[in-house]
Amino acid sequence: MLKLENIQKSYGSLKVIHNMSCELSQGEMLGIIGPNGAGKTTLFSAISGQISVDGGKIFFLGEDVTGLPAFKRCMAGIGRSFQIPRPFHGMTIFENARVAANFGAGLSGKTADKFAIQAIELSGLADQLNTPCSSLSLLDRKRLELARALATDPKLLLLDEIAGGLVESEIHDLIDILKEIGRRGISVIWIEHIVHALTSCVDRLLVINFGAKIADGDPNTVMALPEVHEIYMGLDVEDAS
Amino acid sequence: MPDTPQVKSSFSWQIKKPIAGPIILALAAVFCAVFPLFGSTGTLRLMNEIMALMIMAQAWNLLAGFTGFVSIGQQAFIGIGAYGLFVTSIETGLNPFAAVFLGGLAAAVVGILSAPALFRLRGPYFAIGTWVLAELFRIVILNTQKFGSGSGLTLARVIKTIPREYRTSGTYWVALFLTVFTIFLVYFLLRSRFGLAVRTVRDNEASAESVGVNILRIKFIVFIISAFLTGCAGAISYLNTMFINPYATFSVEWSALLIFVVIIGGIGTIEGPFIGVLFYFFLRETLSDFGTWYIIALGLVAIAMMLFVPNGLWGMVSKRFNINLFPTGATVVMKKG
Repeated sequence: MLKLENIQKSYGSLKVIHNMSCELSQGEMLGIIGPNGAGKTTLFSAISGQISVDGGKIFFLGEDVTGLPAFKRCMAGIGRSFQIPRPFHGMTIFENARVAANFGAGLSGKTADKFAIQAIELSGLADQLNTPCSSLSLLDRKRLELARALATDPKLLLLDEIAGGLVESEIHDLIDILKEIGRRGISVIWIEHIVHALTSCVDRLLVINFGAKIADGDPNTVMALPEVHEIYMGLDVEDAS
Repeated sequence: MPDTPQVKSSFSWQIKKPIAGPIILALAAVFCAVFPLFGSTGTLRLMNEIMALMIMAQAWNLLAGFTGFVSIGQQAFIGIGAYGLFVTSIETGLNPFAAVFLGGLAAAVVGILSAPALFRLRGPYFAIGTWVLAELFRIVILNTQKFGSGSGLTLARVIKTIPREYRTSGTYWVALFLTVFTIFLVYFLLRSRFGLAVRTVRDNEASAESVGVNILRIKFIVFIISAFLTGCAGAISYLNTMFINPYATFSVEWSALLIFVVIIGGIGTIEGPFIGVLFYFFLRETLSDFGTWYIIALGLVAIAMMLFVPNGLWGMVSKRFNINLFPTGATVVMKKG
């Protein structure tokens, strides 16, 4: 459903992504790991259209979306969450999800209200519908990122370190939510530093470093590769989990 | 269209539909509509001034308070609206009350033409850009004979065609209609899905785009609406005084006044500009005999309000008594059972 062809992006003389190519099939859950500054978030921004690429093409559901602005890609079915939550702080949780249902999913009236509330329920925020976003905890802000992305009715969901900064029990709750999302047939690409959270969910793991693909394949096989170990400075998979 | 949601909500709910504010407004409008039958001309003139400022304040608040774009060039639209009215009714003999709307349209057209350039700017640069726009028009008019150059224009000849008893009351009814129209328009706009999108632009543009909001379109529409309303209000304001000159009309003092009344009343609320305007006129009518001291007093009030009542008068009242006559947000109410 998603196909990246030789994506390139530089900030000035700094090459952030080199010739990245990758494919994702319908309903697949792909994890991305890599050290800080490897280009993971930049890759997401390129897919969702927040930044434009310097070279290469992005195909989504068979269509070339490389030149489309972010809001059109969202309407086409690419939903994303931000690494640092960016809620609409002057609005309530319900309004945050409702605007996504209105514009991302293209729904109106009662249908939009219902869809927004279901996304909020799935993300575990149903008891805080009218809470202003300025007063949310980190976990709830992460959940809101998820709820808002889900309310756009995505076919592909991009999650940027949705588990980062959370404690173990909170991560478990989040994994349950993500498994449910996977069951609904939504394709997911998930960037995460918490490797055990990733490996417990994803079908495939992609490792990137310095903007290039290092490894791509079955999570356990990938994590066992020596070059992946090297990037993580000898960090053992067993230790991490 | 998304698939039919598989999971049913585990609770039932509805969206609150507040009607108190619109009902109060409609009743007040009916009362105000008969006011010219017993009010004196002087009082009507003052009311016209108040209503014109209310429309301008709502329009500025829509742009700054709800969309996050602070303009200090509203005098561009005030001036264009006013000149639009003067020039069309002097040149074509068109009824000046009808020409109010042409003034608004002229401002909207200028808004449409200038928006693509202005929205390339952000924050303080946008603010200064709008001011430059106003200066541009002031200079053009100052140097155009047809617009009266520096000495201005008067409506004296046009107004003689209107029966004496309707000269002030006609302006009053147009002003009242536009005030009520503005408040309803802003209120229903903000309560709609468009209004939600407007607030996302203010809160976070990147997030807004990532949930499918076309932020350029939203900014553009808000800017045009604001320009139109401000243009109409400018036309009313100078129809009321019947004399116009480029120095006063395109003065940045207009924007300073709008910022003052909206911040004192409560920015980002519909009630705020309303209260702020009333408060300003109360100060002006009671203190203006003190000359320069009056200006200093206004400044002190503004500083004190920003320090101690940062959410404005309405923000304070609304919080203290938990009332919201024109809530722009959507509240979900859980249903029992």
